[in-house]
Formats: sequence, structure tokens, C-alpha cells
Amino acid sequence: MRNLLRRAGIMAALVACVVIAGCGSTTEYWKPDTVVEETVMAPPRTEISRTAGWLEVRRTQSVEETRRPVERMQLLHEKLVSTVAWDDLGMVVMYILGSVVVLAIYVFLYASAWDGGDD
Amino acid sequence: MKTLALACCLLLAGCTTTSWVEETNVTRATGQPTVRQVDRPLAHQTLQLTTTLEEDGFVIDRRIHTGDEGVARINLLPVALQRMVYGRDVKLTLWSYDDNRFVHEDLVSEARAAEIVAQWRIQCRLGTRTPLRSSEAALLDRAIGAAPDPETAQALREIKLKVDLRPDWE
Repeated sequence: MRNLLRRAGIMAALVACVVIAGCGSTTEYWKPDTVVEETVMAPPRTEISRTAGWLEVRRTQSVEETRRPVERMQLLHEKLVSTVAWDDLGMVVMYILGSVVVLAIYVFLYASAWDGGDD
Repeated sequence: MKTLALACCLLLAGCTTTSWVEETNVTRATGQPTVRQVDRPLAHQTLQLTTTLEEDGFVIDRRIHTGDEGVARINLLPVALQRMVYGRDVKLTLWSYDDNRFVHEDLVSEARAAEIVAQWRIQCRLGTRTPLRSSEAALLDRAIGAAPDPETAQALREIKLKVDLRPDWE
């Protein structure tokens, strides 16, 4: 009975982990916005003015601007993501492996050079 | 199974929730549209300024750009100096690369050149620096020698004191 309960608990924990990891949500909401459309009404215009030794060139274009007040649908996504730095983890593993290899080489060289301690 | 559950719990402990907003193209109207006519400044347009080509090859030929407000400013002093040195009216043209046509033409006569020099003299007396390229500054020296009267020569000397040399590529 005790083992059964423990197994059921482990299974429940596993399922809970999977459910939590897999859950996410998307919420729709409407945000006020303005859509602006421009229609060119005339070709570009050049206005010239002279002031104190300078020639000032002003370039403008007449456009018809239509502003439509709208509501824009936005989606709010919420999700569970891992913050584990997997790259760093890989680096640590490589350091450990490297250290083991270096230590092994050192022991091998030491054992090879040791003559058994007989004087 | 126990190990797997433990591993999952550990992994889950390193997780956090995150959220982000995705903007869609779906809209719904909430009011009546408003229409108005506006004069929009044409920013960052390229214009080519060119003056009359002289016999010795001298010409003012440069690209200018309009700013955020659609305005470009052109210093007329070099054009006036060209008129004084070469002794004939200088035609100034502005070519628009965006429209692919000439947008302005102007003729700088002797009287107009004298007026520009007089205006720059006042500006220099008020402390304004005169931005000139090296070729234009050389033209200023020549204009002092070719000045029609001592008053104009004096005005050009005053302007020379306030010249701010600019590199040719600027």
C-alpha cells in the first residue's frame, strides 16, 4: 500500500511537471489605434526664399490624410520557458571532462616514470 | 520513474513564465474617419546644385539634401564670388533626383552678387562664420583682386577674416 502510494505520487508529480511545462495561454484584447492613409494630391512643390546670403529651398507635397479611429486586436501570449543556461552547462561539463583527461594523463605519466621505489 | 520525476521537477524549477504581445492586422472601426489636406515636408531629398561652367573649368557642383523639415539651405556667397571673378552672370540650377527634373533656376547678376556680398558682410560683422570650401576660398582671394571698387574689396576682406574652411567632400 505504501509503495503504491509512493508510485502514484511520483506519477502524479511527473504528470504535473509535464502539464505545467506544456501549459500556456493566448489572450485576445483590443487596443485603440489610428490607421492613417495618405493620398498624393499634387506633385512635389518647391518654394524658394532668400535670406541674408542664403537660398532656402523648401520641398513639400500636398497629400490628403485620412485618419480612421479603430481598435486593433492584440494577442497576449504567456508561456513557461527554461532559464537554464544550457551553453554554460555544456561548458562546465567540458571543463570537468577536460580536467579528468588531464588528471589521467598526469597519473599515467607519473606511473610510467615511477620505477617502483626500489633503491 | 522516480529519477525521471526528480529530473522533471529540477528542470521545472529552472523555468519562468514569460509573456509577449503580438500585434495583428485585424481592426474594427470605432468612429468616423477624418479627412484633411496637409502639406507634407519632403525630407531627405537629394538636389544637385550647379552653376555656369567657366572657361577654366571652374563650376560649383554639389549635392545637397533636405532635412527633416524638407528644407535645404544653400550659401550664395560662392555663386556671387564666381560672378565677381569671371565677370558674367552666373546661372544657378537645382536638379531634383526624386522628381528627375529641374526645380529651380536663378540668375546671379552683378547687382545681385554685390547684394549677397553686402549681406554676408553684415553677417560676418555680427559674428557669423562663412563656410567655404578650399576652391571657393581661393575664389574669394581672386575676387578681392578683381573687386570693382574699394568698398567691395574691403567687404570681401572682412568676409575672409570669418571664413570657416570646409573639406571638399562635405
